[in-house]
Amino acid sequence: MSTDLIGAAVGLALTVMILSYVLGDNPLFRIAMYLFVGVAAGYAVVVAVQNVLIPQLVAPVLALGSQTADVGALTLLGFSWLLALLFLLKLHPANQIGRIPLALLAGVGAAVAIGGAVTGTLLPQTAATAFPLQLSNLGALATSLIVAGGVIATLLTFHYGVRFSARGAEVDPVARVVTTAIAPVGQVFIGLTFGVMVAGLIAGAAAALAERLSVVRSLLGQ
Amino acid sequence: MAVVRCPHCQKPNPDFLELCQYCDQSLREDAGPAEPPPAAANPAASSWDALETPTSGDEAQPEGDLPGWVSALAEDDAAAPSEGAPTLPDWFSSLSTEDAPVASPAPKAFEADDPDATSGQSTPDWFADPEAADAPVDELQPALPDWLSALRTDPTTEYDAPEPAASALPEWLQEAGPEAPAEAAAEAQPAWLQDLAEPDPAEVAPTEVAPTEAATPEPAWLASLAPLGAAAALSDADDDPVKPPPQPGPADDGEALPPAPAWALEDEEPPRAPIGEDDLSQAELPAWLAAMRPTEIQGAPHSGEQPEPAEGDSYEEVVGVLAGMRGVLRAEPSVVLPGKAANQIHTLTATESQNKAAQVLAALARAEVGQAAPATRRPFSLPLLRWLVAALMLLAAMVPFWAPELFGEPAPLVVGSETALAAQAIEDLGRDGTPRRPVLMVIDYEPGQAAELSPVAEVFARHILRLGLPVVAVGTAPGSAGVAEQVLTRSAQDMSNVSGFDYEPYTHLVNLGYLPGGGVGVVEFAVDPRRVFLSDFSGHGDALWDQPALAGVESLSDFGALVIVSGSPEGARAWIEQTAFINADHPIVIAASAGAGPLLRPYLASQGGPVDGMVTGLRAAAQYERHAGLVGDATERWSATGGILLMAAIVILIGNVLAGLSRLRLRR
Amino acid sequence: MKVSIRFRNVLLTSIAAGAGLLTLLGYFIPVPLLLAVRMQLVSWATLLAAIAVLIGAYSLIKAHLRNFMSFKTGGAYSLVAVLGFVAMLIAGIVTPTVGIPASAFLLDHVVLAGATALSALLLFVLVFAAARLLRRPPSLIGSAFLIALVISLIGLAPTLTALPDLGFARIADWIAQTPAVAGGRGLLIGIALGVIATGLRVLLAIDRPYGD
Repeated sequence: MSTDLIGAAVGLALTVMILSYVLGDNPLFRIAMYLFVGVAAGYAVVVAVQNVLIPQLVAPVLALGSQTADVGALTLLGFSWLLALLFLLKLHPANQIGRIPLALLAGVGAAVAIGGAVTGTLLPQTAATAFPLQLSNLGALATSLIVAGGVIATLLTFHYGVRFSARGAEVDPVARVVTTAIAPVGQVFIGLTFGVMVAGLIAGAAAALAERLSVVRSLLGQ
Repeated sequence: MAVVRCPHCQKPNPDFLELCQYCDQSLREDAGPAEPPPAAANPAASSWDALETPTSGDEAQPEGDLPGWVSALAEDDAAAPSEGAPTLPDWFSSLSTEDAPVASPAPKAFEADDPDATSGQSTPDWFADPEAADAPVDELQPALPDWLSALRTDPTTEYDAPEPAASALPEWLQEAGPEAPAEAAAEAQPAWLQDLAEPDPAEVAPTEVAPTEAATPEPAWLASLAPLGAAAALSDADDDPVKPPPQPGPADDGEALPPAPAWALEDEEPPRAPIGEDDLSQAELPAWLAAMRPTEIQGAPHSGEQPEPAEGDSYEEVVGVLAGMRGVLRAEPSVVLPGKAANQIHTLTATESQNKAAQVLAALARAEVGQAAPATRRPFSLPLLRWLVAALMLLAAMVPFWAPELFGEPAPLVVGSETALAAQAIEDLGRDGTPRRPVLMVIDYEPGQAAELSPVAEVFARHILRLGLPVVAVGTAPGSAGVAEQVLTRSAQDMSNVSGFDYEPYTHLVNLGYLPGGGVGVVEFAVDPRRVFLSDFSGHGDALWDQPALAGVESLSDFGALVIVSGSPEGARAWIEQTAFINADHPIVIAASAGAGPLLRPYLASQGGPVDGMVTGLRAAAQYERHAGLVGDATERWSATGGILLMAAIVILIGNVLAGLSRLRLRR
Repeated sequence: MKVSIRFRNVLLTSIAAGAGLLTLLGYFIPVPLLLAVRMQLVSWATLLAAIAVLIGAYSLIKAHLRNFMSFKTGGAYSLVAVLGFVAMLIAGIVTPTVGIPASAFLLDHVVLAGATALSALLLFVLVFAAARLLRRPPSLIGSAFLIALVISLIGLAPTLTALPDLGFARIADWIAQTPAVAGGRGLLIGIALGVIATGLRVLLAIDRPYGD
């Protein structure tokens, strides 16, 4: 019996056990779920250790003896080991010193996110909304206006900071326009966007079901 | 005992009495009428009448059952008439003297309780009017009965009365009590009555009273009261419950008054000392009284215990008319905000049977809670609707395989331009004059999305390989690195099967592996990929970056194109943002899940973004396969997928129509 | 008002803010030294992200072990998870040394199969939920959502040869190209603003995800 056949049988069994959830929660589904979780976690550990930690931490140490050590590189390697060991101390729940590498990770991650959001999304998308009014034809112009208006209406749907009724004061006319006219339009655009997204999710799930059924068909056909 | 009716008031009297106990008249018809009692002055015949409950009927006891002293009374009464004079003691006779002034009417309560008392009885003068008994002592000296005379003539007494005080008797006692008995009469007094005699002034001293031996044996109950005499040392005797009895002193008129009982005696005016804690000496409680005291009261002093420190209220009122005073009740916060008593006076003491009952009740309550049924439990019902939907989906997935003629070809998409642009961008990499650089393929989806995205990743890889360009794969998740290995392996195998050309690893394709850190890892890879990957996914690290597939690659810009196969908008956005930062001039193509399309389409070049083309979903992948002439899994799975999508649309439509109709019907 | 500042908090905040500011400055100030420092910080962060995978897996297995050892309901299932984890570790670390690609076998026939089946299960959930949308009174956003969903599904699906083409595909394409792009762009700008605000809060130590 080839490993492919064994593998296909295992995959078929798992597929049936997981899809049995349609009939209701049952032990077969739970066994398959827990097995999947354990194996997936183990695979992640294997890949992280083999593909990242061993090459970046262990291999350079092993290579120290075979080549002349650069002091700068050695220092940086030492810091890498220090940070790695400090972070591994987080395995103990009461450990406090493991927060140092966590603080480093949080700071760098926040900076990268800010830089990418500003240069990669905020400025280009704002420019794409504001400037290119395509005047080549009426259709393109209408499309541009609809897109621009939809973007503004979508942003104004989230009017959390606008006060609409100060005590004893008249309602701001701008706020009134936002809440009564613009925000509903934005809600329509958001609803349409989410509808397309969920349709895509259903399409992806349908592709998964089709793939599993084709595996079953191919296995049963053999 | 025989009963004799008074000839005057017709009330029943014991036969041993000489005088009527109601009207004080002689019970003998030949004795002549006695002095009529002043009816107004004496609404009650005597104090005895006032206090006694009128008896009805013959309640006389047989003479043989009478106690000794009562019998003695009877004998004395029998001997008394020979003297020819009333046998009442002086003080007793004063109750019926005609010189007594008119007594004030008896209290109404008294009258109400004792109807006999209001029927012509007279109140004794001393009771009715304390001032009335001002009669001379002589008038209080009728012939005493023997028993009473014996009491008064016996100078000795068992009872050691407290030292008589030099001060006179209180007024009420002077008037009501017997006058100072004569010496002769005093000799005949019993011991206890001799206490009424005027004590020897020499013996009067404000000292603590101690029980002493007396000629006559002291009753036990009386002896137990002796320590109470220690209270004579108290200076503030008014509020003291154990105030020593006032000592009888000489009468104001010089007549000797019968000695008062010890308890009625009062100390000679002791010098009043200031009240202080040191002056207070705790009296010793008798055993029987101490046994009655609640033991839970902490600090409650009894025999042998240290007394509690006296509570002192140091609060001084500051407002109102009571300002400056201490010991006043505070309106706030004591009344408004009553506090909890510091001492726990009451403790719950339960008997064994009560404890058992409580345990049974607790067990019942626990059992009830443990067996409590769920609050709302719907009756068991099969999820038939869910099963029906699932069956329809499965049926729709199988129909295209059973009846493929029912479905047409995938309709050409208006958005096909995106797919076409993506295909064109890849195709342009192999154009003549274009630098032949490896193409970076980012596998940014989880294994769960492999069914939808692996076909499009494979078609991209096959297209690139067909152009003769190396494919370098990177996975942004541990699972995606393994999926990338599968994609490259299958693509190379498929191309080898089609073209007969062997695509070799590290020459035509390389899987670098897992790139950790998300956007942070992308930043590092974009600037220096050699720093990130010291070895590939298979673990080979020796001269990795010297391999043909990676030759000349030192940054992201050195790749010929960037193909991002992403299952989520976040991962693709991170790559788009970072490559935009480094101003890479290579084309960017995205293959995304259909669900991520709306949030990635704004990055298209047609929308002003840096992305040249985009393939969204399995349908677009099937179209790409057809466009590129590389039919694969996407085309094979699309039929089944399309059938499921159509059935899903029908189910959703029908379900919502029915739901809307039912709501309308309910509203009507 | 006396404020007690703990040295530990000062140290952590300094590290987070310092590393973040240095990284952010590297985006806008192309000074070689700054770029070198930025790259080193990013390299360390990437390494720490890989170690975070180990910590996450350890926490998961520890929870399952605790569940199993405490004999709670469902503890047997936790044993299955632990056994699967151990089997994968052995397959990934031990067997390659003897030339057995057990890890690829488990990836292909357990991880991929299981994950794909779970995605397929999502189909039934989504369709069942979407079919009951109008049980509640429809709102503006709900109505737009339902209309776009049905039209997009019909547009994505292959046409039936027996039925005429009613143009659903073109309508679906137009919805995906125009109003959905507008809504998507608005959402992207909003997301970018949120990311910037959240990132600045971390850099300014207003939020401390690393703990106080």
